[in-house]
Amino acid sequence: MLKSYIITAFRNIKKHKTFSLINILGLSIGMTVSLLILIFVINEFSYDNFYPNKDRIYRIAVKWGQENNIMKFAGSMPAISPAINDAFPGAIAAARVLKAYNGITVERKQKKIKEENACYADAEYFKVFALPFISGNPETALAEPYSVVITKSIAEKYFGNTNPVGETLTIEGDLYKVTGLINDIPENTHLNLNMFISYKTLAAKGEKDEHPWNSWGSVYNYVLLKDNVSPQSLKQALGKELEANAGEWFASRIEFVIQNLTEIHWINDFRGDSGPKQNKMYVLVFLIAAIVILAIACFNYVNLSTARYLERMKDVGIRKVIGANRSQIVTQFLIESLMITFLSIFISFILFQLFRSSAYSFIETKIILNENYFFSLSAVILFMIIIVGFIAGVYPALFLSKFSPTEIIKNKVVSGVKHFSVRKVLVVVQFIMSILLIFGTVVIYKQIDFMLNTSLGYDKENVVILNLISPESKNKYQTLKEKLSEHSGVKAVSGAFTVPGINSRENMGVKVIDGSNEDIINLQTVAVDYDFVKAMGIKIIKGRNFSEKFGSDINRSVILNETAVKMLNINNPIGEKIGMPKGNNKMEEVTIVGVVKDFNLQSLHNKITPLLLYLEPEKYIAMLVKYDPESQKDVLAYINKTWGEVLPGEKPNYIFLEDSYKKLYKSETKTEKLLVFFAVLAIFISSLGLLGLTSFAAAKRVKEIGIRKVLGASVSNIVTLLSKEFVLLVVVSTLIASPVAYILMNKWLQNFAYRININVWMFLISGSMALAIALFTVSIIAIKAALSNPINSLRSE
Amino acid sequence: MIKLKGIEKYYKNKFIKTYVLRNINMEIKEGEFVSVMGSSGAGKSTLLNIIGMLDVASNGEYLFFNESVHKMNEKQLSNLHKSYIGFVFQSYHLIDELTVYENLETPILYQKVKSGERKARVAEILDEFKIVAKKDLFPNQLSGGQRQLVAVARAIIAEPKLILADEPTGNLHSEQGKEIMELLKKLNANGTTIIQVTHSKENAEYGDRIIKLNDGWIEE
Ligand SMILES: Nc1ncnc2c1ncn2[C@@H]1O[C@H](COP(=O)(O)OP(=O)(O)O)[C@@H](O)[C@H]1O
Ligand SMILES: [Mg+2]
Repeated sequence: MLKSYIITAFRNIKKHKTFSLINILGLSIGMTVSLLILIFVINEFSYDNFYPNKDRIYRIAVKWGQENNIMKFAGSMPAISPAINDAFPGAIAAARVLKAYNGITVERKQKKIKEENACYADAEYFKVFALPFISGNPETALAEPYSVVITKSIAEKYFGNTNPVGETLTIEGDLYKVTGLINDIPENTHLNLNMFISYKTLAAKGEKDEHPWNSWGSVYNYVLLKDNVSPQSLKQALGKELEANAGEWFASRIEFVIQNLTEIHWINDFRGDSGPKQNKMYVLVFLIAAIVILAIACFNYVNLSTARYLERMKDVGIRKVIGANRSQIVTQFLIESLMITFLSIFISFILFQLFRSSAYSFIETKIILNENYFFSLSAVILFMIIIVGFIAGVYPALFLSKFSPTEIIKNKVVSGVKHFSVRKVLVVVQFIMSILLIFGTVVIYKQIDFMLNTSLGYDKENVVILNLISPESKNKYQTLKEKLSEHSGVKAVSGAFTVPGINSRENMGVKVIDGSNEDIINLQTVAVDYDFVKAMGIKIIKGRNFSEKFGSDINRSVILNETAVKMLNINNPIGEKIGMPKGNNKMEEVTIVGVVKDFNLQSLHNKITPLLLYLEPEKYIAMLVKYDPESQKDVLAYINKTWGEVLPGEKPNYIFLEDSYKKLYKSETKTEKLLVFFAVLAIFISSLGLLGLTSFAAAKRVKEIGIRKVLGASVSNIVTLLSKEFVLLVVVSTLIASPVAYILMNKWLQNFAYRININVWMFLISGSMALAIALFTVSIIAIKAALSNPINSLRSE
Repeated sequence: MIKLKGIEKYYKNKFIKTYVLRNINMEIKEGEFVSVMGSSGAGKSTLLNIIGMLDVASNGEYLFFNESVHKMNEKQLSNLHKSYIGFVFQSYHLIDELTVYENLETPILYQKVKSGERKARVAEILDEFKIVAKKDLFPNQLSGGQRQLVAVARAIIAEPKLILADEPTGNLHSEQGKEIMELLKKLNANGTTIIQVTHSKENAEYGDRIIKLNDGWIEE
């Protein structure tokens, strides 16, 4: 029986080439995109999933600061894990991990290699992360100083195939005992480690072995909680401990954040975090895109199958007359759709292999190829065959199998077929999705265009940013500045703590001295040099710029922006004195010497902040060089040369201010590109469906078209006749899509403090684009039908 | 075998009922060969379809082997017509995508006959109808007469007790038509009940008895 089903399905696929081609093409594209996306999504959700008890493992991170001046850190106080192990009964174990950031040199026999993924870990580490030991005792492996647990690949590198446990390794010149061997840790983890040195080694080596409560760096604290112990209770216990040990002032500025292990991959706003990060929204958008594209392809199948009902009806009727039940007919159709799906997934798989690496590098994701990958790939493929095969197949199968045999045998054309509305609905849904994607692209494009071209209050052209990375470059700032200023093409040079596109930020609480107001107001403060205002082309609207002529500007004078003046509520700012914290939190008096026009130091996601510029050479992290555009080449060469002279062996690390600013919108630019891609696919697959539907409609009406032509209808009459309905459907789609598009994109625009308005023309453009493409598609068929010689179609009677 | 009591069939269009069959009473015994005649639109096909359970009557009672067809559910009906009734049509109604062999095999496939037996039955029928050489051809590679031959072969492959033939020779030359009629006669001689619709007096004579339909009424 199955053989007969398959033979019939195969012959049907072969016989109806247009139908099969359109479906296979659409489904292949849809499935390729879905395959790429689903593998990506599975990969992203697999992070740290392999650890036993992963649901009960947490990392303790901290938030520091108050109100709108909060910083988040992935690392936390080294005192935490010992304290939990001593006094928190809800935990099974807690352990610290300190990555060896600069790598460690490992030696054995002739080998001497720098290992990048080593760490120092507490004795309890393998209680928290219960990775099975191939050899060695997990209980005691990290209990002594100068012990190290290594992974299989490290063992193979230094010991070949012999068991390394009990052997020694030289690390950074000291002798270590290998106390444990574990399997390589899967790559999909935020802690990509291969050597675990006992934490006690740090103390033994004479490094400070304090367990401070009031400071922290790069030490991560992990804890495995007992069943039914809430992370909240841990947070409270730690809070109390902190207050007892570090005092109220400190404790009131700290909030512990207890992060589940599997969430860490999704957390991307904590400083000093480890491992690759991913944005959940981003993944979700991808998932939706995959579903949309696949759905559009499935709808094609449904539409084209049911559009063929006339020719399939006879077949179904005969089969019923000679004894088929409905379920046997349904099976027949399902097998056919499964076979089309199967062919499509085969092509998709090839496309997937071809485009995999470029697609994933475009979205900057690393897909980890291990057994799990092959398992997920097979699972996803199977899942897609079943889902698409059935989703696309079930409705046509049920619809086509229901015809009663008499209607067919009597050669009666079924009239008033109501399923036709289903087809219309699906076409409308396809075009709604396509229009949404086009509209999204248009809005994002306009917003990016706006952000790149709007006036920012400073002049981003002809400025190059030179990063001061090495301590030497910071020390030699004055020399560099003097030398660079000597070039005739250089118009201004200034150091700065904050530059557009480079993420550094300092806030201070300041207050007006005149006594009218005791409030401390939080301002963003930027350490700059005398020529900052000039280099950036910022406009001074009151008072003056910093100037060396006055000799007293360092530590004495500040410049505010308009927003800051408003916030401080000063009527005549010039000459007004304010207090700002210097050094040990003491308020020092400074004078406002100038007010600048507001400018966007950050991206346009954010409102302009109240800003205070002050002179503080020690804080510069970058230099700005404003040059004459005519001599750009000369200036850059001169910078290179000078940098090498002042800092031997060092090369300038530079970026144009314009590019640095553009980088702020990297994620938007990327989203835009992806959206264009998805929109093109969606509209392409939808049009394929339309192409199929029109050709069926034309085929069904050949005779009518022939008669009309004989009666004198023109080509355009015929084209109109065939296109009218589909064009109407696209218009309806535009009408339905518009409000949805408006709501969605308006929501997206809320991410920006400075944004474009959604205009009527954006709807018009999206709608007419869809319409033009649809019309073009339909016309191909319609014109062909209209041009055919009527004699041919009429003679066949 | 078949008893029709006061069978009527009408189609409702808005509020107007158009009668196609009126007060049909008849009985057909097992082993009979009945010819139904009448002008076009008289309701012959409708009658045949009702007897073949492809269509249902609007009024009246239909007993098949003394069981009331009206009271059966979809499944029983389907099983009944699967195993008792074979159909032959004027326009053959072969499945275009299947070869002669596969067309013959399909009815017994649907009845879940085992593969071995299926092969034997198809081989036997091919032999009997002398179409072994054509078994791998598709319907559109055959002449009209050959197609109808295959259609008859397909109708009897499941060994039905009743064959309903709706103008089986309507599209054939008289020569081919004769061949088909001889075939039906032979089947009838072997015990199969046959009801055929025909326009030709000559072909009608193959039957034991002729029923004439006129505008839905049986002409006495
Ligand atoms: N679904 C239907 N709706 C309305 N009228 C129908 C329908 N099917 C058949 N008829 C009418 O019933 C009459 C008998 O048809 P039929 O049994 O096919 O006649 P024939 O004797 O030619 O085989 C015809 O007039 C036909 O128009
Ligand atoms: Mg008829």
